[in-house]
Order: sequence, then C-alpha cells, then structure tokens
Amino acid sequence: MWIQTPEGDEFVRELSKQLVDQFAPEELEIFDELYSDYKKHPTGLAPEQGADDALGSGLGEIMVAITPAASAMVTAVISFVVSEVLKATQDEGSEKIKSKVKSLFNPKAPGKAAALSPEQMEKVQKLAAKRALDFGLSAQQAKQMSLALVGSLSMQ
Amino acid sequence: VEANRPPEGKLNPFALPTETDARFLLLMISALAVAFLLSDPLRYILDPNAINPYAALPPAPGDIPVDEFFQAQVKYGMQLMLASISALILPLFLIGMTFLLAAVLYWDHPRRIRRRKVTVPLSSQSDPRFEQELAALSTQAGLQGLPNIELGKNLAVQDGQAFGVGRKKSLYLDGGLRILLRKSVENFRAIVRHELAHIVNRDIDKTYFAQSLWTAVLIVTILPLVVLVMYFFVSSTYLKIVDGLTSAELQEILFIKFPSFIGFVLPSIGLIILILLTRAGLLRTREFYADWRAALWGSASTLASIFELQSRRRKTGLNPLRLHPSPAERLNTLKKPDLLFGVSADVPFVVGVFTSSILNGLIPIFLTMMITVPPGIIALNSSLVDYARLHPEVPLTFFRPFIYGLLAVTNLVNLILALMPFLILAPLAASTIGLQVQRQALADLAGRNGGIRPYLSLVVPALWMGLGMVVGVFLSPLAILAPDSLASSIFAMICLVLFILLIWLVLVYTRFIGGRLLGSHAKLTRPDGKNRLLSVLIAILFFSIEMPLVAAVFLDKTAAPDMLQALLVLAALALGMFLLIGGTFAFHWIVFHVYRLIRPVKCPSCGQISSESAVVSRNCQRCGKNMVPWLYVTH
Repeated sequence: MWIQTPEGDEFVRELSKQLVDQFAPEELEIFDELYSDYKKHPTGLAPEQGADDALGSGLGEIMVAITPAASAMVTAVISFVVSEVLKATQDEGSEKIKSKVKSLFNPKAPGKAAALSPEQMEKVQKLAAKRALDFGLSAQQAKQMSLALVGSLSMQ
Repeated sequence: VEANRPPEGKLNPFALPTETDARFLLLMISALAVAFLLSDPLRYILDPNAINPYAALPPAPGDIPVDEFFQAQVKYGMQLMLASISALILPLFLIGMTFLLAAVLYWDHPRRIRRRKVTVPLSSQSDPRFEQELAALSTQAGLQGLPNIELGKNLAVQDGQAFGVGRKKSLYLDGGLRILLRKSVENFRAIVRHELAHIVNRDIDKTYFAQSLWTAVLIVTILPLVVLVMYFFVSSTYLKIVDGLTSAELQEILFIKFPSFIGFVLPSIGLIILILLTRAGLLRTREFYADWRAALWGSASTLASIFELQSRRRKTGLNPLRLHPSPAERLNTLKKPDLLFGVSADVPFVVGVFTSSILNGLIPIFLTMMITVPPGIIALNSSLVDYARLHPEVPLTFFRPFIYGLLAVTNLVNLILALMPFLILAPLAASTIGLQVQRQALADLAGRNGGIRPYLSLVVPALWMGLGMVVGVFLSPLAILAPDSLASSIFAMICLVLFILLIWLVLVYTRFIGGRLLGSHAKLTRPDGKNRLLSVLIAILFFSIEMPLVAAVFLDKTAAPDMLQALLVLAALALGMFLLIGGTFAFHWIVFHVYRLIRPVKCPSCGQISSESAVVSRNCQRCGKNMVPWLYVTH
C-alpha cells in the first residue's frame, strides 16, 4: 500500500506534524523521536498503571503525548481515504490516485479532487476519534483533533 | 488569644526521625537470625554423625585427685570449646555465604535494573533543557552534583526509579519524562523531586540491601532446607509405599512425619509471606515521606493534583503486597501529615514478630558462643592455676591478677553474650514503636487532644506487639521459645499477659515524658538530642521487660521447674519490673520539673519566658510567633 512507502510515510509524517503543531506545539521539539516511537508501536501501548517498582514514583502515565495519537489518526484517515478513492477510481493508475489523495489534504493543490461525501466525512471523523482514544487521549481531545483533521479534508 | 491561636501550617513529617529506619534494621537482623536457625537442621541433614558435638566429651572433672584435676579441667574446657566451634562452623559458614551473596546481589542491583529497563545513560548535550532542569532540581535537593541519569526508551510513560551503590546514586527516568518536561514542567519536577527525595531520605541502600539479604537467606538456607526436607520426606515415604506399608509405618507417616513436615514447611512459608508484607508496608511508608519531601521542595499542589487525577482514573483494590500506596492514600497523607504521626497496628505487630524470630535465632547463637568462648578462658585459667601449683617458687601474687582477670573476663563475656540479643532488640523496639508513640504525643499536643483516653488506647499497640510475639514464636522454624507442655504453655501465657501490661506501661511512660520533654522544646531546630535521650530511656525499659520475661519462658521450658516455684519467681520479677517502671516514671517527672525550673521555656524568636512548659500549638505571649517552629511546615 502506498502509505507504507517512504513517500506515503513522509506524507503521514507531515500531516501529523501539522496536527501536532496545532494541538501540542511543545512536542515539536521532539516530534521526530515521538514519531519514530509511534512507528515502532503503531497500535498504541496499553495505558500504564504505574510499575510499582521499589523506590519508583508508582504513578505511571501522567500525561499522554499527542504525537503518537495524531500520527495514528492521520494514518487511519489516509488509509480510509485511499480505499475510498480506490473504490471510486478503479480504472486509474496509482500515480493519479496518489495525487488525488494528496490533493484532498492540500488546499493549495492544483486541480480539484473529488471531495468526500458528508457520510464519508462523518465516518472518517469517527474513525480518527477512535484512534485518538486508543492512544489514551480524552474524549474531548479526540473529538477536537478528529474534527480538525476532517476539517482539513472538507476544506476542499 | 493570640498565644492560644494554633500556629499556621501543617505538622512537619520530618520533625522527628521516622521509625522505618529501625524497621529496616529489624528486617535485616531477622534475616541473619533465621539463617542461623535454619543452618542447624541443615547441619543434621548434611552430616548425621555430627548430631551431638558434645557426645564424645569426657565427663566433667569431679572427684579426682588434685594432681589430675587441673589437667582434666584444661582438657575438658578445650574439648568443650572445640565441640562448640564445630557446631558453629556450618552456621557461621552459611551466614558468611549469605552475607557474601547479599553483598553481590546488592552490588549488582544497578546492573539488573539497567538491563530490565533497557536504559541508556543520558549523554551530555543530547537534551540540554532536560539536563539543565535535572541539575537545578538536584541542586535544590542539596545533592553534590547530578546523580547518574539512566534513560528509558519508552516515551509513553513518565515513571522513575532511584537506585545505585556508593555515594553517587542513579536515577532511572522514563523517556516520557522528556515529553512531560515540555508539556508540563511542574509535573516533571514533581516526579523528579519524588525520586530525588528517595536519595535524600537515604532509602536506597536500606531498601536494596534488605531485599538482597532476604533473597540471599532464601537461596542459601531456606530453599535448600525446604528441598532437602521434602526430598527426605517424599523419598522415605515413597520407598515405604513401594515396599508395602505396614500399619505402624502408616501411623508413623500420618502422625509423625507428615505433621513434622507440615510443621516445618508452613511456618517457613508464613515467614516468607510476612517478610514480603513487612517489606511492602515499609516501602509504602517511605513513599509517603518521599512525597512529603518533594512537597516541601515545591511540588505539593502538583503532586496533589496528580494523585487526585489518578485516584479518579484508577481504583486500586486492597493489595498488601503493593510497594506504593494508592493515589487516594498518598493524597490523603499529603493533605493530612498527622497520619504520619499515628501509632499504627502493623508496626507493633511486626516488631513483636521480629523480636520473637530474632530471639529464636539469636539465643542459640549466643548460647553456643557461651559454650565456646568461656570454656577456653576457663581452660587457660586452669592451666595457670596448675602452673602456680607446680611452681611454688613463683609467688602466688604474681598469678593472682591474671587468674582473677581471666575469671572476670569469663563472667563479662558470659554476661555480654547472655544480654546481647536484648541489647540488640530493645533499642530497635524503642526506635520503632517508642518513636511512633513520641510522634503521636506531639501530634496530639498540636491537635490539643489530651486526657486519659489516648493513654488508655496505647493498650492496643501493646496488644499488637504481644500478638506479634506469639506469631513470631510459631513462625520461626524450630521455635525454641514455643512451649512444649501444658505447664509451660500456661506459664508462657501468664508471661505474655504480663508482657503486654508492662509494654503498655512503657508506652504510657513514653507518651507522658515524651510529650513533656519534646513539647517544651522551644527552639528553631529539631529536638534530636531529646529524642535520642528518650529513645535510650525507652530502650532501657524495653530491655528490663524483655530480658527477664524471655529468660523466664526459656528457663521454664528447658529446666521445667515446679509450677508454683516458677510462678513465685515470676511474681517477684513482675513486682521488680513494676517498681522499676513506676520509679523511673516518678524520678523522670521530678527531674523534668527541676530542669524546667532551672531552664524555663523561652520563645525562640524574642526570648520571652513562657508561663507554660508545654508550648506545642502555642504562640509566644509577647511576639505572637510559633513557639515550636520545628514542628510545623508551610507549603
């Protein structure tokens, strides 16, 4: 799948970075490390209850990083969009599909790509929110970020 | 009105030392006692011929001619000493091995933590902001330089762990703390301060060494013995079953072997569980103190909000083996430090258990040593006497100092060896339960909780300690203090009741004198000297109770005297102890009043003499400032 190619990965990375810039700019300083960590654990880690080691803090996870959640959301959304574009344009070549997907996320892209329908938009928003919840974000954060991500699509 | 207004702030948890230090020591000494106690059956199993090292001894010199008497005395003393040494070889060897293994495990713990956590050392300039913040926090904690920082790779968690050997300790910090620094610097500081507090509170060496020592005891003595006992039980039973069991053999298995086996294995399991529970309870208490230290460094509100959030997020069930208190407990203790000034049930119980188990282990050690060292000295003395007898040309005055000196040394060594277990245990009891009562007395003065009721309620810790003593006797493998007949059981029960009553009186004394002595300490600094003095006095009282009563139980069991005679001796002992405690009470009360007449309480700020001697929760009648600032903190 295109998303797994270096080009696709770079695309996910850039979109994730934009989302992080919007919601957790303080993480940009260590975005690259967080993104590579996400690539190693793309399904997310179970929330930590605190290790209970002797002379540890016993507190475990105090604050959830936004970057892995944002990256997971972007990955899920792009995968969805790619599959939807594929369904709609089965006779077209991969290069064309790729540029269509890219243009969907790029308001300045030349040529008008087919926008997603309101039902698809709702579906993709729910999907993104679910991924955010999987990565330990609060329901409110998940909703805000998923709306922002879908908003970048509906800008078309 | 101003003077009666309670001072601002909360109780300072560090106003007096904590009892946990002594509890760690109890945990460690009990490890050695158990190791020694268990090494004896190992000796029997490994070398069945060595069952009785004294069997081959000649009879003690009796009605033999003077010419031969001293030679026989020397021979007997030397043989007795060698026999005792042979009985000590394996236990001492095993204790040596235990210490060696404990030292190795302790020295190796940093490597094990690094390997388990897959850490990488924080490299210079890899994250300057992180490094700068850590350096600033270490300086605030009063550390000489930054501890060794080991970073974890997991960026999703923000935990830490303090560890290390030697002067420079190490801090393991999860990778997630680097994110936390960027997202919430106060949360970051709270976690790191908590870990630094473990270093400053000197938790590291005690925690890891106590853990290493018990692991070593488990590996060197408990496990080999359990395995050997199981092997002998199973193999002998199996062989008999294979050969066909006779009725007598079945009875032997069911009523002798199996109960003996269970009677050995169950206490061992119980002891291990108790050690784990004690360790967990100790570490949980140390966590409260680490939280409080971090709070005093400026993380009080942050820690409170973290605990509040976590207590809402996760409900922790009751797990007595957890090494950390629940977030709700931590929040509660942060809000109410008075909780660290109470007398809990677990401390007197644990002190009781360890007192028994240590006595069970130490009494045989010191008895064996008493049979080892003094006979050697007596043999030397006898040879001197014999030499003097055979050489009349040498004046007797030349030998006399040596002979009397050696006899004095013998008696002194005997006395020290007999008292040694109690000389070790009494200060530890004073530094645990005694210290808790001192802390509670202060907290009650601060909370103006007076009257007779707190004194009466001290019977509860006394009961817990008594119960702990009983449990400790039965949890000690080869319980030498456990009564073995109805008469000795009745006698032991009477001793126990007397013990509880006397311990209660000592606790009442501690509260009464402690409250007056510490409660009149109107200084800027902690009353360390007064606290030490009190601990010594309480230790003497504990010693005066424990030593005669334990000796009574032991002698009653071994010598089996006439019941009435034993009870009369016990009554005389009890009378003596009541008089001692009462006399001490009255004498110290008078001394205290005289002391305060000579040195009245003065305000530490303006020097105004106070009309009251108990000035906790009082402000100066002239300047209005807190009379005991060392007892309060504001954050």
